[in-house]
Amino acid sequence: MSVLTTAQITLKPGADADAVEQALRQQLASAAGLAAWHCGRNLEGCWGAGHFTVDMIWRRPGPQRELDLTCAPGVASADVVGYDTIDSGLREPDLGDGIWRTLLLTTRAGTAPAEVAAFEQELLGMPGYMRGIRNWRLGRVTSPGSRWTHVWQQEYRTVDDLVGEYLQHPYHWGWVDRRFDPEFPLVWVVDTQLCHAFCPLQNSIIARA
Amino acid sequence: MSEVHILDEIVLQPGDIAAVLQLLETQYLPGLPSRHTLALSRRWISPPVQLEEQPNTLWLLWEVTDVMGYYTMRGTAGPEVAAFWAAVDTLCLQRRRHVMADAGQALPKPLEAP
Repeated sequence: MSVLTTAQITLKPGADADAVEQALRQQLASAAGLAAWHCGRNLEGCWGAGHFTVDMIWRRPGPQRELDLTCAPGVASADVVGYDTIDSGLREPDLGDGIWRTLLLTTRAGTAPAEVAAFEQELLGMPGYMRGIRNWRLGRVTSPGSRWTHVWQQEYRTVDDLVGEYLQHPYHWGWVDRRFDPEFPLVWVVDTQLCHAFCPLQNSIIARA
Repeated sequence: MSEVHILDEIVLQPGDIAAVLQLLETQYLPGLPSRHTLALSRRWISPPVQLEEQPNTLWLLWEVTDVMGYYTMRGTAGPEVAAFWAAVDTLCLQRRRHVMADAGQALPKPLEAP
């Protein structure tokens, strides 16, 4: 068993992204207790996201499950989120040179637990319609005080699988999206503030946890 | 014809129909040009008669240019949109929204292999 955390790293204006990435990678490589990690620079088209997506898989039990990712020069903030896996799936555990997508979301305060559970199952139903989702994981946020409640992650071979099949499939726009849309009465459950981040993926992260 | 339509089903007392239409005209429709991909196609009332102790249903049919236009429509909804629906919800008895595609198309099915 592992402890999972993901982070959105935001740079200070004018910061040298290459230097920050190098510093982050050095910090992650030398961190005690980390079983695996991934650092990717977010690509154009993200919204509500930082400049880097960092994922950490901690050994359980381990001496350390937190890392201050703001200590690298040029880092303005690090939104670090710990989470427990609700469910996950692997179609291509040896996926390499792909795309790593992270959606951080918040279910609306007061939403009935049954409605949240239904929403979770609808998200988890997406791979059953979309072959381009090669690997996936839905997590429930455990970090006290985090503004997020869920982490929805997918691994793709290409960006086109994300902005193509994933976004354009009727299961997305014609079904799941109503959960994100304030114009829908009764079934709207997700706050409109989202973090949609995607970055290059060296090797499957989901297969490592 | 667009491949994406939205149908709002708004159950009202007959005496509130005019107020909702007025809200539609003054609060929602003026914002459509800046949403780029959404247009009001038709509006109906059913039954087309005022009955004793029975509400009517206002149907608003919206046309979205295409699938990616759906996300444009979603992303360009300003606070006036939420204000409109909040006002409607104070007047209506029940409301549902449906996203629809052409009935003649083959429905995407669950994948056979995982």
